[in-house]
Amino acid sequence: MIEVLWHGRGGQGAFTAARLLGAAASLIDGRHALAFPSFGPERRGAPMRAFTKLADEPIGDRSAVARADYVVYLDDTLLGDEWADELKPGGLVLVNSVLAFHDPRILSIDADGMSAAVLGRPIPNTVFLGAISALCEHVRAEDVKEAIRQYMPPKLHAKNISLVDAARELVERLSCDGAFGSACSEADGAPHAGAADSERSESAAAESVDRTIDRFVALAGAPQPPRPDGCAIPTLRCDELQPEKYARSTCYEAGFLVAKNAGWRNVRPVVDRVACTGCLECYMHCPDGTIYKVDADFDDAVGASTGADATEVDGAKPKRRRPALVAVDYDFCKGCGVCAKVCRFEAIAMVSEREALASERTADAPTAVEGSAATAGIAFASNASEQAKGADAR
Amino acid sequence: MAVNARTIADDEFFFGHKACAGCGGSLAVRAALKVLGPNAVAALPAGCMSAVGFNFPQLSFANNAMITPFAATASVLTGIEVGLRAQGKKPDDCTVVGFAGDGGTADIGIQALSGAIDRNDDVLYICYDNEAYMNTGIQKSSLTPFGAKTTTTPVGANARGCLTQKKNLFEIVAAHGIPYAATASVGYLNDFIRKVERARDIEGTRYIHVIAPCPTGWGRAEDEMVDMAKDIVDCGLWYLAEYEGEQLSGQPGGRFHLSRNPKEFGSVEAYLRSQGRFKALTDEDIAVVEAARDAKWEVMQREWQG
Amino acid sequence: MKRFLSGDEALAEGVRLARPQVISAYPITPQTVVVERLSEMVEDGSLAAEYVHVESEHSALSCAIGASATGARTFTATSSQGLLYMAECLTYASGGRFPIVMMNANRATALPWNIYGDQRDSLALLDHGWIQVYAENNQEALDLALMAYAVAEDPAVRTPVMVNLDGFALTHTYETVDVPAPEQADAFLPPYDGVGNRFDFDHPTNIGYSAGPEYNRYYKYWEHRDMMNAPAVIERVEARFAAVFGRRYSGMIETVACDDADFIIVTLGSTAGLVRSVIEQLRAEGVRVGLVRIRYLRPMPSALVVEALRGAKAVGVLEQDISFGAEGTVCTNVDAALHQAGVMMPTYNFVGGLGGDDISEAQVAGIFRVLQQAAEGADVPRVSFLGIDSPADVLGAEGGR
Repeated sequence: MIEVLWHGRGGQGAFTAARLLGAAASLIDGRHALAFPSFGPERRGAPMRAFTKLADEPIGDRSAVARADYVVYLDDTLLGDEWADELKPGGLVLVNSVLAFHDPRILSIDADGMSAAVLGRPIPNTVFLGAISALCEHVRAEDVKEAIRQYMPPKLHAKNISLVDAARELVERLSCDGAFGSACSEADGAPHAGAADSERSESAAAESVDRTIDRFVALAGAPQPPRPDGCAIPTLRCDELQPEKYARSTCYEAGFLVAKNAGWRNVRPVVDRVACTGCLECYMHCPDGTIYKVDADFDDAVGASTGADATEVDGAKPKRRRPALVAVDYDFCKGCGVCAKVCRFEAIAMVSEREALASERTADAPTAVEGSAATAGIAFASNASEQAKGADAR
Repeated sequence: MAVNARTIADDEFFFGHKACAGCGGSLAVRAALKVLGPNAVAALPAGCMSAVGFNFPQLSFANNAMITPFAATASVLTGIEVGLRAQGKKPDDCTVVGFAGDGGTADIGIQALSGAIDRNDDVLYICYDNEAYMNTGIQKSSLTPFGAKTTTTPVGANARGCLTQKKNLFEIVAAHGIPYAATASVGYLNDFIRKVERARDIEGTRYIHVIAPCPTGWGRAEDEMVDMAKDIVDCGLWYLAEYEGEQLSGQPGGRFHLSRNPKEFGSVEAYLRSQGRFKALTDEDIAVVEAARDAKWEVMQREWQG
Repeated sequence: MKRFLSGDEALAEGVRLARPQVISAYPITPQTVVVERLSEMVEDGSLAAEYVHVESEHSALSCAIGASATGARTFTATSSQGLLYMAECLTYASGGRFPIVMMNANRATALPWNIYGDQRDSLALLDHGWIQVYAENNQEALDLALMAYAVAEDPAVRTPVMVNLDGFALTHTYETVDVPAPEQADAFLPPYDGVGNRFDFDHPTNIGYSAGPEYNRYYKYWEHRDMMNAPAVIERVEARFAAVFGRRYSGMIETVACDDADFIIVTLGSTAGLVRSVIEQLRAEGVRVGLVRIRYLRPMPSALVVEALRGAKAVGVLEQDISFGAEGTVCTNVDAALHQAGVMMPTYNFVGGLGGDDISEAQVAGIFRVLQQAAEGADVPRVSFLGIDSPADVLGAEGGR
C-alpha cells in the first residue's frame, strides 16, 4: 500500500489534493484508494492533515496514516524537527518551498511560485499531484489529469493540467540531476534550510519592490514586553493529565491551555511604536485578544532609553507623549491582519514570518541596527529578555 | 464608569481558541466578556464559538463557562441563574450570559429563548450573527440574507443563492416586551460595548443581536472583517438600534430607538459586490435589496426616533 | 404519617423531603400531578425551591443541567414523548455527570397516540447513561425519590437517576403511604455541594467541553466504571435508609420464592405485584414458581439475576416493551446475563400491557403453565404477545376454568 500524508493549512487545498490523488489512482479497475481529512475543531489557517491510501486490494484500515511513503508539506513553515518520524524507510518528503534542505529525503519545489505564475494565485496543491505522478508508478499522469477534469470546475482544467506537466518535468529533471533520492542515510534529524541559498536571495529581491516594509522587518525581532500584572487570561500549562482525575466529570480548570496558535500564521503584525498614537483600535478589534496594552512604566523606561519621542521632562522622569502603547502576543497571534487594517496611522504592518524569524535572530545578536525605530525595537528586546526567560522557567 | 478603549479591563476571558483568523464572532465574545468581567458565567450552544473554545485540554474561557445542547442556550442560562440564586451564591456583579450564533438563536434555539423572555429570567443573551451555519461549513439559516450563496443555497442554473429574507429577530424578541434589546455590529465596537454595559446593569432578560462577519463564509479577506461589519451598517442593510421595554422606557409597549441614523447610506451594490457570497446577484436583485432597505428605513426613521 | 396518595403525589412528597433547590418541568400525562403538587409546595413555602416554568421537556432537562452546574440539587419529571423530546439532553446530563433526579411516568410512545402505561419510553433510552430504577408501589416511589439523590450524588457514582413509575397503575392509583417527617429525611440525605463539578467564582471552571478521540474514551470508560459502583452504593444507602426510616429494600433486584423454584417470571415495576399473588395461588397448588423483580435495570445486575434464576427449569420474561424486529429489551438483558455466566436455561419473552392494556392473573398463571410445558418438551414460541398470539392466553384461560 502507498500512503501519502498531506500537511497544509485550512483553506490551502490539502484535502482537495488528497482526494484528487485518490480519484486518479483508482480510475483503473481493480485499483483502490481512500482519501480523508483529519477533522478537528481548528479553523481556516490552522495546520491540518489529509491522507491518501492507494492499493491493489480493498483498503480496510480507515485510520490516520502515521508513516507515509510520501509526506507533502503545502507550507514549509509546517515542516518541523520531527519530520523524519512520519516517513517510511525509503520515503520522500515533498515541500512547497523556495529553500533548499540539503537532505536527499526532502524534495523542495517552489509550488507557490509555479502555481502563481499559471493561476495568478499561489495554490500549490496540483503541483504536488504532478510531482507524485512522476515519482510513484501507482499514479499515472493521465489519470491525474482525468481526475482534474472530473472533479474540478471546467475553467480550471487547462491551467491545472499544465501545472501537472510542469511539475513532472521539474521532478524528472531534478531526479536526473540526483538532487534527491530516497536511498540515503537517516543519520541526521532536522534538515538544514539553506537560508543563504541563491533561490532565496532572488525571492527576497523580488519582494523588495516596496520596502516601506523594511522598517517593520527590522522591528520584527523584538521580543514583546509582558502583559500587565494580575491580568486574568487563559494560560499555557504543562500539568500531567490523569484520566482518573479529569475524566470523571466534564469540569476542569477554566482557561487551561496546552497549545499555542503561533503555527497558524505566515505573516505577523509588527508595531512601529514611534508611529503608534496609542489610539488602541488594534487592541480593541483583535479577535484573538493577542494585542495588549503595554504597562505604562515599561513605556517610560523605553522612552527614557530612546529619548526619541519624549516631549517633556517632568523632574528626572521623562514623560511620554502617548498614554498607552500596544504589544503583540506572538504565541497566540494567528496573523489575520485586522490590527494592521484598522490602524489609521500606518503603525502596524504584516511582515512575513520568515523575515520576522530572520530578524529575530538578528535582534538576538548585539549588533546595532540603523534608525531610531529599530533602536526602539532593540530596547524592547533587551528590556524584555529577562521577562522572557522568566516565562520560560514557569 | 463608561467602558472604552482606555478603561476596559486588561483581562482576556476568551483567548487561545481555534477560531479562524479574523473571526468576527470571537471578537464579539471577547469584547463582551471584557465588559462583563470575571464573575460573568457564560453558556454557549453548539456553534463556532463553543467548537473552537472548549476542546479539552485546550479550554479558552478564563471565566466560568459551559457548553449547552444546541437548542438550549436560554434554558441553560435560566438554570444557571436560578441555581446560583437559589443557593445564595450569585455575586452582585455576576452576569449570566449566553453566546449563540444565528442558527442557534433564530432557528433551533428560538423556542427556549422565547421561554426565557416570557419568564423574564435575569440573563443576557447575545446572538453573534454571521448569517449562516458556519460551524458546519456555511449552510443557510433563517438569518442568511437574500441572495447569499451557502452550501445549501447553491448558485446554479435554477437559483441564485438564498431565496428567503433575513428573519427579523430583533423585533420578534422586542415583541415579547423584553426589558432591553439591541442590535449592534463588531464594526461599531464602541456602540456594541456600550450596549453590553447597559444590558449588564439592567435586571431581567436582555438580548443583543450583534453582526459578526465570517470572512470564510462571506468571501472576503480575513483582515477586512471589521470593514465588512462597518460596511453592512453604513449601507443600511443592518441598523444599530435599541428597544427599551415598558419598565425602562415608561412607555406602554416599550420604545424603539435608532442608535445611529445616517443622513445617507453607502452603496448597497458595493457592499454586496465586495463579498464572494453575493457574486451571482443580478443588478435587478440588487435593486430589490436596495428597495427593501429603503422601505425598512422609512419605517424606522418615522417610528424609532423616540 | 400515613396518607392515602397516588403514585404521583407520593413521589412529589418524596421530592419535597429531598429539598431540591431548582425544579424545572413541563406537564405531560400521566406525570402532570407531580408538577402540580410541587408547584403548590413551592407556592405555600413548604418547599424552598425555584420552580421554572420551562416551555418544553428539552428545556426542562437543560435547565436542570445548568442549575446542577452551579451545585444546586435539581429535579425534573416527564413521560413518554416528553422523555423522547429531551433525549438529547439525557446524554449531556449523564456525560457531564450531573446528579439530577428525574421521575419518568412510564407511558406508551406514539404512534398511535396513547397516554396509558407501558415501558417503551424508558427502555428505548436505556443506553443514555442514566441509572434506571422501577418502583413497584407508591411507598417505594416516595422512598426512591429520597434514595435516588443519595445514590446519584455519591462521589463514587455521580450519575443521574431516572425513577420510573408505571403510568396510571402507579401514577394515578391511590394507596396508603407512610410520609416520613422532614427531620428524618434531613438526617438521611445531606445537602449536595457539587464540589469538583460546578462553577466556582474563586477558581473558575469550564464545564461540558468537547474531548477529541485521544481523550473521549477515558470519559466513557469512567462513566461506565462509576455507574458500576452504584450497586455497592445502593446497598449502603438502603442500609442507612432502613436505619433511619425502618423500611428495608432489597437492592438491585427483589426475589420471591426463587430458591426452589422450577419456573420463574422476571419483570419490572408494578406488574410484580400481580405475579406475587399468582405465585401464592400456584404455590398453594404445589407448583414451585418464583419471581425476580429487577429494580435497577442500569446498572444491569447480571450476576444477581443469574444467581436468582440458577436451578430453574424455564424462565419467562414478562415486559411492557418490544424492541421491534428483535424482542423485549429486558429479555435481551436477562439472556445476556445468563450467557455471561455460562448458565444455559430456556427463556421465553412475554410482551404484554402495551398502551395500558391490562395483564390479568389468568395470563400470568398461563405464563407459568407455558414454562411448565416448555420444560416438558412442548414447542413454545420464543416471543409472544399477550392477548394476541401467546400460548399463555389459552393456558391461562384453561387454568381459570
